[in-house]
Amino acid sequence: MTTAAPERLTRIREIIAENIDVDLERLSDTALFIDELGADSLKLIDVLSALEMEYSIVIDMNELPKMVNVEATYRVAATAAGW
Amino acid sequence: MSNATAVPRAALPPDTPVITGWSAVSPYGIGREAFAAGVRAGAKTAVMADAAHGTLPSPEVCTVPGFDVQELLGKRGTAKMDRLTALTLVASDGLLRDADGEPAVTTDDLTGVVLGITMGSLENVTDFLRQSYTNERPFYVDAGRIPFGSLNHAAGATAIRHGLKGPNTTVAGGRAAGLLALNYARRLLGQGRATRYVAGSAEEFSAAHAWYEATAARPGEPAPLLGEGCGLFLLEPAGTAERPPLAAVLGIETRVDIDDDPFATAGACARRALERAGVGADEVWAAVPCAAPSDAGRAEYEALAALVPAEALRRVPSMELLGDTSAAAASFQIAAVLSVAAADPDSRGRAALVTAVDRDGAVAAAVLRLLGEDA
Amino acid sequence: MTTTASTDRAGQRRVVVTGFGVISSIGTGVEEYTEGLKAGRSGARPITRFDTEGFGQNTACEVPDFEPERWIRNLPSGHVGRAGQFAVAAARMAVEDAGLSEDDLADRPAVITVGTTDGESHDIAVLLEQELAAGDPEGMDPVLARRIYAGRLSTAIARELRMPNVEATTVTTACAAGNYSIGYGLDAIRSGEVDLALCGGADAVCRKAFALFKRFGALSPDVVRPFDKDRGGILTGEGAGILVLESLESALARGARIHAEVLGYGLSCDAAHPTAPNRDGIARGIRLALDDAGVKRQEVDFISAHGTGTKANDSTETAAILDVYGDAPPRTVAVKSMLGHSMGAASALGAIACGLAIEHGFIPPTINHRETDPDCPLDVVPNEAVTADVRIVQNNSSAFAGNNAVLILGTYGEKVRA
Repeated sequence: MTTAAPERLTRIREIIAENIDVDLERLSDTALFIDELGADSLKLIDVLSALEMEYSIVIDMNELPKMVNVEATYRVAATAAGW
Repeated sequence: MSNATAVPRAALPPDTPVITGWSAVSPYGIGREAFAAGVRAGAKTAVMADAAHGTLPSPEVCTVPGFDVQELLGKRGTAKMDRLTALTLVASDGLLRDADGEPAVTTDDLTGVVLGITMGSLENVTDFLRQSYTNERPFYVDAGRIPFGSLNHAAGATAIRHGLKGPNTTVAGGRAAGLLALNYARRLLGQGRATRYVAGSAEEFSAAHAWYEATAARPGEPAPLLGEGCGLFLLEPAGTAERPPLAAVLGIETRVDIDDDPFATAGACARRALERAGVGADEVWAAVPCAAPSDAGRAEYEALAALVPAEALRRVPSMELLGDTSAAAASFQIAAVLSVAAADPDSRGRAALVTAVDRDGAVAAAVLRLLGEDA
Repeated sequence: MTTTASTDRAGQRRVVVTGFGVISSIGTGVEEYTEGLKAGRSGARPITRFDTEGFGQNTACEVPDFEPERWIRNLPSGHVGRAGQFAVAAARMAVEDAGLSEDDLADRPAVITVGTTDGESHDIAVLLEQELAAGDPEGMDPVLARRIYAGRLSTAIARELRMPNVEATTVTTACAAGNYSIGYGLDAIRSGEVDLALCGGADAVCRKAFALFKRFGALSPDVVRPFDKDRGGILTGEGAGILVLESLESALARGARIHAEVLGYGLSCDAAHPTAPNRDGIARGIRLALDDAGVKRQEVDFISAHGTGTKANDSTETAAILDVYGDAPPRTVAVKSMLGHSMGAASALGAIACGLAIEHGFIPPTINHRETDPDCPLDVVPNEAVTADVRIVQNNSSAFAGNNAVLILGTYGEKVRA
């Protein structure tokens, strides 16, 4: 492992903020993307694709519904990457 | 020749499409005033290209000055927006909103949008493909940019921004696209499919477009000076127009140059347009060719010179000043006529001829009756 | 009313279809295409157009047997790319089917309108390959650089058919562009300004569309199963459909065979989301089309759906159909199960399928169907075409950017709305 988990979490948070179009400050680890932050399900594909590119991983599209907040998204990426 | 008297609005048949508003985002700047002032001054717009474009086939460009997308449209939803959409949205704000950002035009479920383009945002599509070719996997592409790569995105985004649910169409035709869009709007208004139309055309400057144009140029021809921008018009039937008309669209004619004879084709198209509009060639007050930097553009000028009074061709400064603005060109030509006419009371009731020739063979001509700006 | 009246009840000029031109992955030409539709043929096959390595998928509905030289006689070599070749070939085929010679066309005023999603985006990809290989944009081929703008799809038809006196407008409203084009032809003829229009759509399989739908997770891993509970997305496709539209007056005067009548169409814009389909927008498009056609809901014999096979489209489109038709909608089929999503050509090929269904008395099937999604309670005519007396058909289409276009075709001479 080359990066410590907190750094990864920070980076993932940035990627999410950029792709669902919210300010980083508003993006808590548990705030729900769709219900609380006004994202739509298609924005989550943007997040998924950005994570794939950032970490050279492939995330199954069926994981999309699990990506409800920062925490859960981190777990999806971690599973795909084998972190 | 005596000046025709102004045509009172009531004299227009109620289904005549009239232009009741316009806006432009152009190398002269953002907004109608900047465009009108630039046109009247006959100012040049070429500048050294921003270094962010990378290596270009030609160092000079006619880009929209001070065009900061996030400053003009806000941060939300704009981070990945293509330039073509941004130019169009800023122009649509100029047309449909007042200085406070409030709606300035009545719109409803039958307000249509038609936008003329060349090939959408070439920067978006080439960036997308470049990612697909050069990234580790071919589907490692920025999904957030994908919607902006749809050729109809700018028109759809205009509808979303202003809540316009009427017919929403994008037409491609390069330099003729603005006139094809206007004709499309005229037809659909005539068939009752829309009550009013936001009609115009747009082009973005990008390195990708510049390289395609330079590559397409014939050997020995210099890379063309390229411009960009968006011109939009509010088009309504005269009988139900809510604002005083600036000009009536008397007719639009189109042809295709199937024999590589742009002189003959442009001439035939312009003559037919005037004939159908019931306007004699010697009555034309202003004639504005697209001034494309090509044999076709030069032939178009010659065709008009052989047809209309010399002073008509001098009335509006050459569109060369804006660079080759491709799909935006025809809308800028109309906006330029309106700008010059607004400053000249003699223009009232007179006819204007606007023509376009495109490399792909489309040729178009529009005849307008200038109705002046009521204070 | 008499069936030959040149105007309809609303006093509008009547417009009929007198020619079809088809290039498709399930058959080229009207006869083969009709057979393909009746047989429920699948156009899916391995992609040959571009290298699919790394995508993990390589299926699309390519046209396997296209011979441009059979149809294209007058265009300079290299004037158009694959999409343009499809458009021009289908136009040639359509005017021949209509019995119109080049002498008949000549200086005749007409509208030529081709719809497209990607135009010559395959050439744009090839130009990029050339640039990457050379390490410099100066490595790009000028022949390709000259033909990548979408306007050429329409002007090339004028050039090939030697028709200078035309309005050549390419409509780039993405996946609804075919219906848009046919609608524009209808309006041009109704307006009385022309008697003739060549309209439709064309697109070619390209890396852009494939990568895009792959990225959106909307590319099916195997086949296209519209309205099925296990549908997994689209396959990209290609081809062209061009229709010859004529005023009824003109068609009767020259004794032309009439395939069908164009009864009307509707355009609506969602003004809501850049990519998601919208139930209200689609429903409004359908209502506008039925109104324009003067057709009552119960008169529609079947719907040719947009039916892409994605989760989102099929359930949203079904909801819109039910909004308009209540809980007893007409049979609703998806020809994209056979053709894949041929993008700008899709609704033009759909419209031709509707016309052929009217002419030959059948309803094309939705193939690859196993179990209808409970969210899509429709009779999709699963897997086998059925024989039916088809008089009025609705052809749906929707596109990114919230553009919906719905077309209504009918039997010529048996107008139910009399």
